[in-house]
Amino acid sequence: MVPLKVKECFESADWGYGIEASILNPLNDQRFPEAGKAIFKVDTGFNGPMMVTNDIFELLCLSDIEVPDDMRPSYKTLAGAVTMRSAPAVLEVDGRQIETDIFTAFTGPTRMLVGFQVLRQLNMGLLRNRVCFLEIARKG
Amino acid sequence: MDPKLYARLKAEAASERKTVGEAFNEAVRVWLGTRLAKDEERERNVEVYLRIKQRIRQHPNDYFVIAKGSYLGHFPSLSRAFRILKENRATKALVVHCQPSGEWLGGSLES
Repeated sequence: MVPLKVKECFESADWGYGIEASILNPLNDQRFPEAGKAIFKVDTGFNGPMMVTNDIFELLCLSDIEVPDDMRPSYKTLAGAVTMRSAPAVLEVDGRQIETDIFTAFTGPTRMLVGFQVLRQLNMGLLRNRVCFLEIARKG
Repeated sequence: MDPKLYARLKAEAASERKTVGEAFNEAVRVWLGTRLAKDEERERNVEVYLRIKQRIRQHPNDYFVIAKGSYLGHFPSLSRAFRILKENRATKALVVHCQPSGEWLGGSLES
């Protein structure tokens, strides 16, 4: 068994687990938030990459590089399908830069969350009421 | 309005013997013109996209880059795609790759 060490933890809120991250539009170097990090919900039930609200999508000027209408992915929900606007960007999390797609709902509900496509690239654990980034502990 | 920006606007307007209102209207006209040009550029990019659409499906892991009404190539990573865009000084582009649809079950939908 590989010994793991806790790097950084975030307390869960009443709405669930969240992690701190920022998003960079590499085309214009626009970052959200401009300084520090924002909290994104950890959503294992969303098997896409990540989602931001419409205003953050516009703030990052992601509409300048978003995919054409007919390439927009659709996500099944219990209330019907949600079509997503999508643009590529860089997620800065846990000291890493992850190239990913950023979604915002074309119509319907929109949230600030990290989905399974991104979560599976992170070493993290849900420990009681905290979500923690983990690393392999060095011997000695 | 940002007081520093306003002070600069007032100074620039005075140097050209214009009122702040006239200078402001001129600035808005230029800004709106830029946005219109960007929309036209996106339309040109979408036309190119429609022409190469079939090729995108043949390379599902690549990022296809279109800017300034031209196809700039397809690349295995987003960083290379953005590098080529910066080299071409693009401000608006299509960076397209195959995106599967999926599921969004429970969780944050409820909160």
